[in-house]
Amino acid sequence: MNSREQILNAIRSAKPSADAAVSYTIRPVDVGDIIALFESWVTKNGGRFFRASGIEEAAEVIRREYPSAYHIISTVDGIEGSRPVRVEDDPHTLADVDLAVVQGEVGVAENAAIWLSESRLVKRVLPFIAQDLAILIREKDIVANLHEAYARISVAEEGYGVFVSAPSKTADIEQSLVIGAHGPRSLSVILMP
Amino acid sequence: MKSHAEGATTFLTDRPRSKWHDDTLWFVRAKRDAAMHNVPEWEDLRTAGSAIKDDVLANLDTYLLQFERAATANGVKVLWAADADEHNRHVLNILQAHKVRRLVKSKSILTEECHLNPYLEKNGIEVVDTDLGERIVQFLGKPPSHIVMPAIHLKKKEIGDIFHEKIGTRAGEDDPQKLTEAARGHLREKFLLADAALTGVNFAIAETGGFVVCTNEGNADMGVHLAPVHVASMGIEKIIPRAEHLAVFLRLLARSATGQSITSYTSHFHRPAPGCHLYIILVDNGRSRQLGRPDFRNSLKCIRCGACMNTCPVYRRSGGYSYGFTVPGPIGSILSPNLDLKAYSSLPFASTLCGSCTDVCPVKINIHEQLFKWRQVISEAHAQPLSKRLMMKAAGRVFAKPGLFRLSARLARALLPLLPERITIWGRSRELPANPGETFRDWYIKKEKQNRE
Repeated sequence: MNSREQILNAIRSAKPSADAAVSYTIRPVDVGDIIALFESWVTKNGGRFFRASGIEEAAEVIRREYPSAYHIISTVDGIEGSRPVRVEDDPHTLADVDLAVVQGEVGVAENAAIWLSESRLVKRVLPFIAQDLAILIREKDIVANLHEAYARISVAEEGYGVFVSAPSKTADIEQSLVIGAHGPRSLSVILMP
Repeated sequence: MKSHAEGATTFLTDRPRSKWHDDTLWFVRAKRDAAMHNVPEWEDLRTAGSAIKDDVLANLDTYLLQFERAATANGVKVLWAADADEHNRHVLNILQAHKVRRLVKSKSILTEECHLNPYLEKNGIEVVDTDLGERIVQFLGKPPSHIVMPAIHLKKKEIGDIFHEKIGTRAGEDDPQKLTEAARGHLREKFLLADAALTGVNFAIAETGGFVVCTNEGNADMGVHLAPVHVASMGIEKIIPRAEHLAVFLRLLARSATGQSITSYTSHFHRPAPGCHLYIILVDNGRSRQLGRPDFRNSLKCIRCGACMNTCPVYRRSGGYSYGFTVPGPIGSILSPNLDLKAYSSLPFASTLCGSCTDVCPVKINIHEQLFKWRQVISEAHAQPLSKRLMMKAAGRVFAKPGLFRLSARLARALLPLLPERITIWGRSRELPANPGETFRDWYIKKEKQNRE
């Protein structure tokens, strides 16, 4: 008998009898202005929050905030990068990237998590290997909580997707918060109408 | 194997450090409380989390098969491991098939449980733990002392010393910012050179065949997106039925663990990246046996947040190493006897049964009740130390005879203040509360008399 059968048989003889199908209710809570809540969590998490009236102004914010960024990769239409990125690129070639600019698909007000999916990132490593990260998100894509977010997202549609809520951080040395552990040293969230 | 009391004695010898450890963990507990109070529907979430896990335990075989089918269809290779040895052999086979020499790992308590690192190193693989806390304890040749904060027992000066020795930071440098920056440079090199990456799994979704990994540092993603081979090791109890259930568990996990509303990164893996390879190893290693114990199966609901450790008055004062098990603290003390009743027989006694662990558990595991139940199992299976046996026998006699009990209570009231505070090491950093003026019984009789008058 192989391990698979052995494990499954062990489970079958050990498991409790099934009750009725699982059901639960999470009471709806009015959190007020979800845009304001989203903004407050971006900054509480260690990110920076900006508003832009459109893509041109978003590009301006990025130029202003990251004046010394040299290697810039943008996967957002309307934001110019310093070079393109392609699916077939070796991810190691992104090791020199100063700034990545990507489009967020869903933003969660209760924790400022923003959903990024593989097709928009082009390379999965992009939002991690860049020294700084800017995410654009539209107001209509902000939802109150994770329940609403998962109702909007099909997690299995693409090979990879990630909620990013903060710059890379750690508190592993005496609980002192340090921003910039392995990934981006800053996260800028730019909200557009 | 050393008992918990012996391990705790070692830790408590350094009184200021024990106090500092206690305060640090309590600070994390306080952050958890603040985060929890921000969510009015918290109890609904706990109830939901527990109910979903009930369903998982009752249908575990079905969900695992559903997961295997979906993952395989997604191009993921699924392997099964009955025990730690088989898990380690699977990992080595995968690494050898891809001619891997350098492996980067993100945090996986399961691989600690399986003692994977020494096994791979013996077979010529360079293994680098990339979570900062885990890298620190790896440099010291030690396991994590806490499942969420692996180096929580260390002072920054000690970390500075080991970094000076291992990665060449300035002697005496103990600024967390500078030490983290040095580790960033050191580990970036490791990420860029790795041939394969291994991660744990926080949640696996039966319906979609995917899984989720949570980190703050981004180390799991740095590893797996650069290397061509990704191995994910998961305990079979990590499965959840549907993607929508992630909302329930993710809302509970980080708030319970560190008081954050969510980790910086919550990564969802469903298919290997183009041209890459993705393996998932489903590990039993005693979990199906625990499932067959009605009193203890709820321990398999654990989502490894560590809240029970942070709140535990014993863990906070005795440190993670005193337990001698991969998962220390209250939850580890109900998981470990399942694996080796004799070796871990002291752990269910390392508790005051105050119940704080149960109160903070995000999936409502009745931890303190299970600790009490394990004590009964252990006392029946193994003789307890003579001192404990005699004490229990004496206590039984005293409690059975009201007259004897009253006499003992009177004696105790007279003698207690005279006891040397150093009778055990636990007493050294505590003070006895003052004796009340009269016993409850005396007070009650007096009140009754007054009421009648």
